Amino acid sequence: MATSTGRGLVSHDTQKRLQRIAVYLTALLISVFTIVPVYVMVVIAIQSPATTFAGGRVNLLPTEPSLRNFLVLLGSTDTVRYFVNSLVVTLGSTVLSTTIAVAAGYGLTRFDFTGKSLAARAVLFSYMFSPIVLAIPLYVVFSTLGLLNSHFALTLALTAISAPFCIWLMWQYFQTVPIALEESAWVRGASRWRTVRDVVLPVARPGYISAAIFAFAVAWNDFTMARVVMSRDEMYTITVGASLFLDRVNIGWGETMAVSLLISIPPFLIALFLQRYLLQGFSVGGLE
Amino acid sequence: MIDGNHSRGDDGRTTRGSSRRTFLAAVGSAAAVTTAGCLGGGGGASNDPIRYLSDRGDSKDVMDEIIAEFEEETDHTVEMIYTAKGTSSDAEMQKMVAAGNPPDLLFDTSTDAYRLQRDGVLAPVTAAVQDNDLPDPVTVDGESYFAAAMVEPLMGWYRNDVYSEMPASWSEWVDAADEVSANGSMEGYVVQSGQTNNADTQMTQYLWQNDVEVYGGPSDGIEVRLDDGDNRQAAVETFEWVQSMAEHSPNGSGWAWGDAIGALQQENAAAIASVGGLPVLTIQANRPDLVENLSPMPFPAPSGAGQDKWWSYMEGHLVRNDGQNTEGAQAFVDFFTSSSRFFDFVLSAPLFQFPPTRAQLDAPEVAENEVIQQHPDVMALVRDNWDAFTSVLATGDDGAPNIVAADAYSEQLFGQAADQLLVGGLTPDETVDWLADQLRGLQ
Amino acid sequence: MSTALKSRLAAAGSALRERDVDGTTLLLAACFVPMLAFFVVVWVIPIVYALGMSLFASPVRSPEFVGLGNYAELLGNGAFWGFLWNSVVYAVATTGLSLVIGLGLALVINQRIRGGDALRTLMIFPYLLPTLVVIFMWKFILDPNIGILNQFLVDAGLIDKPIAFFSTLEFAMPAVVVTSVWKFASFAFFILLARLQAIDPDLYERARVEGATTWQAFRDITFPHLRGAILIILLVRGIWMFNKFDIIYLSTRGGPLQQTTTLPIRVYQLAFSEVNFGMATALAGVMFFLLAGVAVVYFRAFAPETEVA
Repeated sequence: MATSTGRGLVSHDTQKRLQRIAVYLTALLISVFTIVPVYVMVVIAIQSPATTFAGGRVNLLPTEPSLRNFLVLLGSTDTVRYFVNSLVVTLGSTVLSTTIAVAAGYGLTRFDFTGKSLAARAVLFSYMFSPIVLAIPLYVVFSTLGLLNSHFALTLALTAISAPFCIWLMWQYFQTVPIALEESAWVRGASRWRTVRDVVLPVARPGYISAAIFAFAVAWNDFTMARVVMSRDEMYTITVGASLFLDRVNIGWGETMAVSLLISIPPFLIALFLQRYLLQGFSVGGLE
Repeated sequence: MIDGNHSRGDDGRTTRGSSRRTFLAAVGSAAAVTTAGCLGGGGGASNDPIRYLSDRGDSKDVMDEIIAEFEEETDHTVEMIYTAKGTSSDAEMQKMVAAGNPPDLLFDTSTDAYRLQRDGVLAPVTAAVQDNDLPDPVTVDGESYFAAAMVEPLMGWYRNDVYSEMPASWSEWVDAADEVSANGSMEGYVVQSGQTNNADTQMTQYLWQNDVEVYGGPSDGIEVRLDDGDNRQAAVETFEWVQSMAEHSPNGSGWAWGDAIGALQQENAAAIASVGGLPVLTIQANRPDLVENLSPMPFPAPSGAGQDKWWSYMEGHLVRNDGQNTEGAQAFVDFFTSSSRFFDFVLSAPLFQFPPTRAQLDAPEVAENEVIQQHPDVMALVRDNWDAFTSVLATGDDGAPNIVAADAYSEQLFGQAADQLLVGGLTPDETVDWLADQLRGLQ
Repeated sequence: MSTALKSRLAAAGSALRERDVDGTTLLLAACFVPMLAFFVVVWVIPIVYALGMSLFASPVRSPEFVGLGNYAELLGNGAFWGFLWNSVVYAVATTGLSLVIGLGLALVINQRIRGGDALRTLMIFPYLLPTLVVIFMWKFILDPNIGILNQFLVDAGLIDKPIAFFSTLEFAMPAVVVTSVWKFASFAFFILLARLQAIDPDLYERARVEGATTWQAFRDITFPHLRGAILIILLVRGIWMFNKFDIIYLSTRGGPLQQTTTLPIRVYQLAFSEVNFGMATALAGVMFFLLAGVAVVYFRAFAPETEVA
């Protein structure tokens, strides 16, 4: 085994062992940092408040789980309706954003035309506008068109926020799809359209799934746009609806954590079943 | 970098270009037609829905029933817009105003009503006020602009198992709190400071307890009298007392209503200043066993002083004059205020919201409310001190509206003064000067 | 590729172009018209409208053209620089910490430790959780009365009395930063991990044979490979955090005493609390030009190969 050059105060084996310890320690610390908030949320959600706060402490060991918080949520609040609103606009903007991203990404990669670099730059620069900045004129525009409080308007607004990054993602991704694939289809007499449909899209699947996941996360998570576009209670998304909980006299931490748990279920399912695509998306989006 | 771009055809370009131009032209005209269709229509007819902005999420069910009745009896429809409490509902209103479609009807405080009236954007609700004998804090040239729906007086709460006898004067409070803090892990009291409503109301009330005349003069000539003569002395004494009490308090800088209640709930403190029965409503859910050990109290007062001025929020309906359906909104206010469901609305948060007139306070609906029956001590306190209830608005001479006080409250200047004292390190003297300065700066 | 094949492909390509020119055009249109239409309606119009609004004082009630007056008033007001400072502090702290944590964890997971896969799955979660949920969690943890952090600090004797982190002047910004880092560190983590896993392990093998220390291996092999990704993360996350509105608004509303008021919060306040859409959009314009300027400089200075053209 080669000895280390230069300063060798400590033997190689000890060095390796220390490194191993440091590695596991880092992993442990970060795991704890990540898990603790989630654990707290789950525990508070499944205990009745009386159990959580019994005796003037905060009891975080779930000895008496109960569904009380969820029942209160379903009974005294419009959680279900908020949830449905969120699902509608999230699915809508995910589909819209991904479609636009695939089309634009492909076009940016394969075609050349005047103004293309301008278009590409515009995509990146639109990313630099804070959603709140876009929200103000969008509010006035939607208001003028009578589109406030519509699922349609919110879907558009959410797509506006997620589309730039999705386009960029697909653009990067399509660059890893060699033109040779398409050319070999053309050689066999396929039209451009069919080539795209039957050759390119399947290959691009990991790419557009990760773009879709990103769009989903942005939309599901959104608070700013929903807050601006929606003012009628029955149109609120789950994020806006839940944000009003903290102010209500009859809603406490138990119900708040319960609704947080409900809101977390779709992302959790995605993380569990689609993580492969997410990772692929990150690996492409972050590279040159 | 892998560049997927491949050869471009010179020959293709012209052909492509003209096809593209035609295509885009077609798309463009289609878009224009659609947009034109969207923009058409929509002018103000007097049967536009009445848009009602409210932050009373807790009363939604009752509100829906009242609206249903109203819509049956009249031709109007009501569109509810719920928003978060406090400043956010103001922001919501501003947002709507800024986009050119203000709400018709608002549920807000008398203070905001006064301010909006001065801005000239309110329509009168005189009928509702006169017919129901409501208090009339915002009245100009015989017209009333605010229809009160509820009052929310401040209230203190203490642990009756810790303080077997409620301390009767400021000095007794200091001693008693000291004892409690020294004895265990629980602090004797909670002093809040900072830019929160809790801190601001608390500090103002303490000044009132010591008979400090912060302002004087008529509505259009308000003077700041905080640092004049006797007032100055009394104000300094107040800040000195607050400083001593803070030594037996958790660090309350930046604490809002919920934080003080949390301290009581977690047994971190034995007495707090809050609003109405809010602590009980919260603690009932989390620590049902603790509720019997809680008793309401007036804010501490120096020995010999009575409860002359007791801070009380007043909230109710205002009608804007620039909405789509002003008349409908006014009709709604009339309907609501005379409705038999009125008590249901007020009592949707019992012990915290009370009816606006003494007569209504004694009404059977109030007496029959379960929660209220469980806390007779709260009702006794409210009845006994009813005449002392004052809103922050009515602090000009003889209760004249005081816009300076309203503005000071919206910036929580008194709470900030407490912060300057307790966290900023100013002496009580300097704090009085600081506060007077700030108040004059508003004028 | 053989010359014969190449020429066959070239022939097929030009044949395609001649034969299917309209198909290509249609495809081109289908690719770009949605994107174009979308961008025009949802981005260009509002932004032009906003910039237009910024040239007026109180644009909705009684518009009065003031040209660059709003901008002058903004930049002249001392408070602006304070808000800018807050924005910079927030963006830098959050991005920096996220990078450090993300990098650390990526390096760790790359070592193929036990439980590495589970940890990797775990790290997706914070990123996907809505901001609101994250804030609820951290508000609970940092609460002065029921928060476990305060409980821990007091029990350990580190502090005397509980601290209301989100409402205390010194701790409000750190609290907001910690909450943000919790959510966004995983972004850096995944990008860096992907990049790390693409590095040829033979490189490390050779380095080990030649006697390089871990540090030298990192400096000479790992870091150059990560450089591009790190720069991208810094730029993208930096911009995003500079523009972030919802985390700060939902946790502190910009308080206490404007300690956590960043420029986006200020835009909201100007627009909806002070009802001055002219100033609000002017501030938004200032933010945009700042970021655009930074991005341009960044590209030129650090990463010409990622130029978008």
